[in-house]
Amino acid sequence: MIRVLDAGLFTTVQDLGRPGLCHLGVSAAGAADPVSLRVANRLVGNVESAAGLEMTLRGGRFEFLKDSWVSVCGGEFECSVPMWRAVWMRAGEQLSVGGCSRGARCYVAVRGGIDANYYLGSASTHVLSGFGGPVQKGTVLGLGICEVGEVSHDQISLGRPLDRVRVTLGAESDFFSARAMFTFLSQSWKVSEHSSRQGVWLRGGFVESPGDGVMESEGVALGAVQVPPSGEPVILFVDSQTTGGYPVVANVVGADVGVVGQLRPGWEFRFEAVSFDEARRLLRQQEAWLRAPF
Amino acid sequence: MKFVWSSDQSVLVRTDKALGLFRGLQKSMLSGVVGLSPGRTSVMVRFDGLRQEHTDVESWVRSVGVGGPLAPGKLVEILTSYTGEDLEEVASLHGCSTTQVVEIHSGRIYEAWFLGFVPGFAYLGEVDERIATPRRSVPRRAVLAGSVGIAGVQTGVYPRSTPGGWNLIGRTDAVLFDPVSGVSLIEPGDHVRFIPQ
Repeated sequence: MIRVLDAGLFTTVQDLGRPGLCHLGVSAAGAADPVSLRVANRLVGNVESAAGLEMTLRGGRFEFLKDSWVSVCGGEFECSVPMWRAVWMRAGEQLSVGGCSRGARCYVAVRGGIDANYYLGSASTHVLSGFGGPVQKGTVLGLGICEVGEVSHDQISLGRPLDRVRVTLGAESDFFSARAMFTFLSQSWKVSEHSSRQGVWLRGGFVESPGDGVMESEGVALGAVQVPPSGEPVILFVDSQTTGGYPVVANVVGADVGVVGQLRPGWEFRFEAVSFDEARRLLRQQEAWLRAPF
Repeated sequence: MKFVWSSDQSVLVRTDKALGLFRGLQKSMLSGVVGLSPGRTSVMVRFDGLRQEHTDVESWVRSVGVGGPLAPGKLVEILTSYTGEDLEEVASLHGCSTTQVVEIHSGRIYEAWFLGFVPGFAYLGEVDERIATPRRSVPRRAVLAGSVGIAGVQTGVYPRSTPGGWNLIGRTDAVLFDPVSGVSLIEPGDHVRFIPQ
């Protein structure tokens, strides 16, 4: 059991989401940086999909009411315990997570997982759908039974550049002019303060969208980079609605979804186009790293 | 059918018979496929890139095909009180009375093209040109659950209170989506009639 003394800026319960219900308009949600959540769970011996706490830009303060194993993984946060390793917290001790100096989000995993309400098979909060809401000060969070293995005593390091996001170009990229594609791929993009789990809004250039810039709404994939008539791209992210109506210039590769989850307002990065084969290789490589014993 | 590799873990299938394809795919799901979202003329197929590849997903989609004639969707009747905040504005925009707007809106059966935005939000069409109204230029921060709105030639019901830019013409007490069972009152391909209360 954990008491929330300070909830931080925006803290939600997240697991790996509910992906199978998009035909009913249900957004998949789930951890914005699934790699960090999976590592955090592995460290405390949980199943990788166990629910943890996702904190954004400024973390919270939590009192442990029972002895527990805990791990904190993600962006670089001020933290009262070392990040990226399992830590033993005694009853009465506090975990305090402060500001973020690199990246945007971090995850707290506790052995057993956070015992939150399940909505359609997942504990992931999705505010717009009414599936839970931000964690509130004073709440006491219970722990679940998601431990499946031993606690790891390794210190993990995840060397992951955040200054580039790799994308594949789809057949629809052909609708964009050569100049628009050049701008999109050569420009350094700045993350807008309006960014959220729904979408990462970018600034710093104008990508000319084809036609009148509005298309018939159709299903969109996670990480689709849409170009609204303003010419400033938006990366549709984990909480995004399931359909979109703007031309899609590119799509973030599966292996870099977690990188998008670490893009903070004001941060600058570039897109890098890779082939579908390369995207598949990157995903497999990441999975092999995640599955290797710590 | 035309296949667009929309991402490393999805294929967008363009077809005029999207609904038939969607229903067929749903009935014979391929392992590793994690989600299907139908649009009016497309089905987005999302898959796990560790378990499937584009070409195998395409073969599966081709083998399922768009199917024969579509079994009609169920008819959903939605009791509506036409008291929306924008009813008069919609009427005056089209130079007709509010009664005419109600008659025209409730006078046809709509098809549920696809669901999106929030759970249970069905995009219904096609709204009669005489009352088709573009989205409001400034969306409302909060639209009440059960609000019936028009956007262009689409109409729909807000399943829950959310921000929204549609022109609100009515309200219903119908429950559009049950977050516990995951049951949506309206599913893709269903027919919907609004019944003035």
